[in-house]
Amino acid sequence: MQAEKTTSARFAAFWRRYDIALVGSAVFGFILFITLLAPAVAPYDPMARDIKNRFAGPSVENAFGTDQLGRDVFSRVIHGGRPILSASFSAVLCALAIGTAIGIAGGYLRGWLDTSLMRLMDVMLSFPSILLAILIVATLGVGLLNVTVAIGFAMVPVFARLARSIVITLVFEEYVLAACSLGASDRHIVWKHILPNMMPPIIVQASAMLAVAIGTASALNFIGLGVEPGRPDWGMMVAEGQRLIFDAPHVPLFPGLVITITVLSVNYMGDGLRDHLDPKLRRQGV
Amino acid sequence: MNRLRTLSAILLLGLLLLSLGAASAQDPQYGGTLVFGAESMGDSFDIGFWHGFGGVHVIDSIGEGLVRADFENGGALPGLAESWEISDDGLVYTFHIREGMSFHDGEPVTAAAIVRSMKRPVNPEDPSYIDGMYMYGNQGASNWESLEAVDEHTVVLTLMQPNATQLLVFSRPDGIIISPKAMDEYGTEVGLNMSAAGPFKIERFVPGQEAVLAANEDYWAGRPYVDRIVIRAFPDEAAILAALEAGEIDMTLYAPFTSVPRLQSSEHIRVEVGAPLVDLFVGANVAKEPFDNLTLRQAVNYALDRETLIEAGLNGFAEMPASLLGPLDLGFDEGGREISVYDPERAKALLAESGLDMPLAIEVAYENNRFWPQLAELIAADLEAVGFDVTLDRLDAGSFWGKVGDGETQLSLNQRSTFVPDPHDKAILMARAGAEGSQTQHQALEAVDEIDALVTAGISTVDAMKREAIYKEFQALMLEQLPYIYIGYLTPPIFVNARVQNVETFGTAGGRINLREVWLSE
Repeated sequence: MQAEKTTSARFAAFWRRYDIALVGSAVFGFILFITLLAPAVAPYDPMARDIKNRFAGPSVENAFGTDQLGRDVFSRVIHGGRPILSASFSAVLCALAIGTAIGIAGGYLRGWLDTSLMRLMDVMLSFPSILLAILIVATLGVGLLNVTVAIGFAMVPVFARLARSIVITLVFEEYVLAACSLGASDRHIVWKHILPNMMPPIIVQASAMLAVAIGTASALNFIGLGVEPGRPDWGMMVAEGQRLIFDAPHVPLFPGLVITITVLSVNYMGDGLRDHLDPKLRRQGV
Repeated sequence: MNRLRTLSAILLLGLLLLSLGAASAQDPQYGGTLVFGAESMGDSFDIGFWHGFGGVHVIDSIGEGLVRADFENGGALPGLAESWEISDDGLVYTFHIREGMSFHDGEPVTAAAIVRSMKRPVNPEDPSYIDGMYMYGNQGASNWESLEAVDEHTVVLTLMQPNATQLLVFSRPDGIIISPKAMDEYGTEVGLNMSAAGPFKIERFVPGQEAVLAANEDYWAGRPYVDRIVIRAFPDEAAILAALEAGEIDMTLYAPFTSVPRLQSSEHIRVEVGAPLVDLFVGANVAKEPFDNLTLRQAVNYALDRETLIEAGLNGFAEMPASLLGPLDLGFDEGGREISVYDPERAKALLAESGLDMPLAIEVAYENNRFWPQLAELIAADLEAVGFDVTLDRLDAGSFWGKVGDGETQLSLNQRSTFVPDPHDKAILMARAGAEGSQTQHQALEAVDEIDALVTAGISTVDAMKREAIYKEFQALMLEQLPYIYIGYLTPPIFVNARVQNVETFGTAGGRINLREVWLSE
């Protein structure tokens, strides 16, 4: 009984501390789950047209109504998360891997390599990320893969800068100095002592960047640089529906709403992660 | 009996008053400002260059050439020339210029002023001359042997070869006559300070944004009904629609077609239907695989479900197509409607006959504006249903035309508006000259010379009966070769505020809005 009470008290305290983050995680988890299972969950084929039933409002048959070609907006919204979420996750993971590697190289080895890498990162940071992404897609060509590359590339300096600043602090930690004095190799120090200790802030940053990536991918698809026209995609659906805003507002509204909810839930989840992984904030909290 | 008479008299009087009231309600009224929503507004109105349709609307409102176009019945109407004679051999045109006209800057409209304005593109000595004024190319000056003012009110033009469209091209936006005073005063900047002799004159111009035009009190046919026209550019269709619904604009051609059903039920907005002057088509690049293969072009032709394309892609605002020429064109052949039909089984059979591996990967390019994206998706679905694997290439206007010009497209969606009511304005698309940069790259067609000969014969034959026969032959050959696959004749919705009266729906459908006769009821 006492143990149960302690568990429920702990949960209540955890909930009080992370209520919004938990809601955000649940919502994002739900969106992710639905998106992954889209073919099984969607009531209709997202490409199936029903010309006679164009612009139908939300109903029992079509929860989010139908679009300009009579396609079910609900099914398209369910399928429409796949390109954006896959591009966003891939882009953030790539940026995290490359950026962290650059940051470690600069922060640990210092010298001319650090200076050159960081000046390069500064140049990249000086471009607004969306403009940099558009520039890259314009150079590489239209397509979801190139959108992923562009978003990932634009995010590399964020991770590189953060990783470097953490490494510079960590190399003076006692356990690193101890490993060093015991003759541990650089590779050993980086893999066993630096990398594990720098991951919490990097993960928090990744969650924040995931929200940015979802927004950027939606924007790039909105302007037609990502998926092929007609395919279900949140950004593309908003773009195709924007001219219908007065006549069939449900067409752009639902995908737009889902983008907003997704970005918001990821942001809340990221805030919770930050609170949880930051020792100072954790100490102040529970 | 007396009471009956009195009652009848009262009834009659009542009816008379009622009919008088009705008549006065229909009488045109002077005054008011009409705001027109355009899709763009250029940085100048120099007629030697293209400034988008917003620019054309301004030029059409402020200017006038020797003649005006009659889009409803075909042919030319008097403009600055009140009458004209054409010699039997079709080589000498004598124009009699109206007396007492003046340009907006007060300069008299004389034969000499007209000749100077018309010679602007071929006279490098003129202070307003700019190298490369390509729009003047439509005036046919390379075929002029001489152009002279023989007296103050007579202009004589002598051609080297007969040109059946010579008269009508003077009604084009690039055919308007500019004041010689403005040409001297502003030189190459005359496009920013246009002074012409049309029904409206420029009062204010904010490049790229709007032009405010005031009624020309001295216009030869009497001042137009409205006091002012504001032609204002909007960034997109949604903004134009919002402005129309808010009553900020009175008229536009550029609101989304999809809004028509809702707007038709609105009390303060009326939707008029334009004449079928604009062709919509799929252009096949015949110089490049796979559409150098006629069988594939035929398969595309039979794969298109035009009824659905018109219904769902154009919200019903088009007529079923026949050929490159439209129902209002001289020589239009209705028989083409039997070829531009939906027959998916035949399309599949043709693809099987081609011996190519299916699904055949192809690309369809189109502009990312107006109804094109919706139409493109429907076309892609039709093509995929018969065995093509379609990739849609959605491009902004600049990239689209760049790709078309470089001959890099396979299939591309396009339209042809007509600026003069003459079949040559559409047939010219198939001329041999310029084929390399065209949508169809038809220099690669086996019948290119035969088609070119018909295009040339069509313009150089003056006799209407003979021309009709030539254009029928031209259409038949085009349907046999199918460089273009026809989607429909657009009958564009013209969106007007309920107070706008007497809208001309013919020229307007082709982008040549005529606001001279429009009036506003308050």
